[in-house]
Amino acid sequence: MMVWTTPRTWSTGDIPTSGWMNTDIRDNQNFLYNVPRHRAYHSGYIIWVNFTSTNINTTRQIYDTDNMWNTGSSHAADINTAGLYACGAGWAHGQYDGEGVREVQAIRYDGALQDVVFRQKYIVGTHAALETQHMRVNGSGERTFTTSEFIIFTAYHDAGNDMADLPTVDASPGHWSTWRGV
Amino acid sequence: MVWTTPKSWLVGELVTAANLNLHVRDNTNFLYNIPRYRAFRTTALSLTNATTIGLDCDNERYDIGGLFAPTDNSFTTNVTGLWTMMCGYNLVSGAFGGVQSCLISTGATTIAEIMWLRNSANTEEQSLSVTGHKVLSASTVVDNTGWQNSGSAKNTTTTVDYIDCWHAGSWGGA
Repeated sequence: MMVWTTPRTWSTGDIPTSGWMNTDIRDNQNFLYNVPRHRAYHSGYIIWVNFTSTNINTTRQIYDTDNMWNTGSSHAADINTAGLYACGAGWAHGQYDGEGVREVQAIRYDGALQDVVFRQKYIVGTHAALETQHMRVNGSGERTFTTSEFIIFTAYHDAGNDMADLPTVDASPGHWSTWRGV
Repeated sequence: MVWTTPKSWLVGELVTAANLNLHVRDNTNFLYNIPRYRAFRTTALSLTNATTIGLDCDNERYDIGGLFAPTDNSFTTNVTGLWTMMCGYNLVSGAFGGVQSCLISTGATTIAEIMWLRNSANTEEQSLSVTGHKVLSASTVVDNTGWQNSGSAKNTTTTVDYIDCWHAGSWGGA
């Protein structure tokens, strides 16, 4: 992973060296071109427990340029480069007649749970006869983070009973984040 | 503007105008003015009951890179890399229930989808949107679609500040 170096202030009479050109121009351009980011999803079925906040655990990374994803904390993005991050998450379940809240959210974590980055929360009504559509919950937002913080992704519902996820390859249940600037 | 892999400079190398323009000026301009677009629709779109409908847009707010050509529910990436994509629509008011969904995909591959069951007791306009994020190859066609099954066709609104029916995308890295 390329790192950002504060660009030098050039002085009159400076003769550009290869070191300056490579560090201050080439490497910084490559950093901006290939920003820290991750995307991960769960390849199996997560059980969404009724009336319980559940981590959106993932089993596979699709990309990860800054060691943001690991199996030990697969419901989170590890922030290794400080800055502004856009992030999002989603989950799903099959036909279900349980009225109630569906929620997905991201929370900043610095050793303890802190502020919510985004929360998508709404109430699902009762399916009519023969309605078999899946419910898909998706949210996104952005916030600045410092290194060693985490973005925690969770799901919640109170439909009345536990539900199994309906996975979509590469997409859901899963989460993503990308660096957007400092 | 296109991206050129920045050169590695050698000790004693003469810095030329051509190299500065290609590797410094043009690459900096590329990163400053990234490929992006946002499209919207100026007339009502009818979402046929229980049918996948393209979110066809007939106008655009901006388009750097020639990503979108009206009227279409799609855009085409012009460079390989990480793309952020989003779309949404706003249905007219009225007492009707049923499912509403919004999907971003490349052919049969889902990038992001939101789907919920509308409350039939309320009559307010209802709006939904979804955001996706994926590394895509250049020339990938990204589709934006909607779906509802309230029992009959429903129109999108035509007055809500460019969110009646819309989709957008931007490049965000390699």
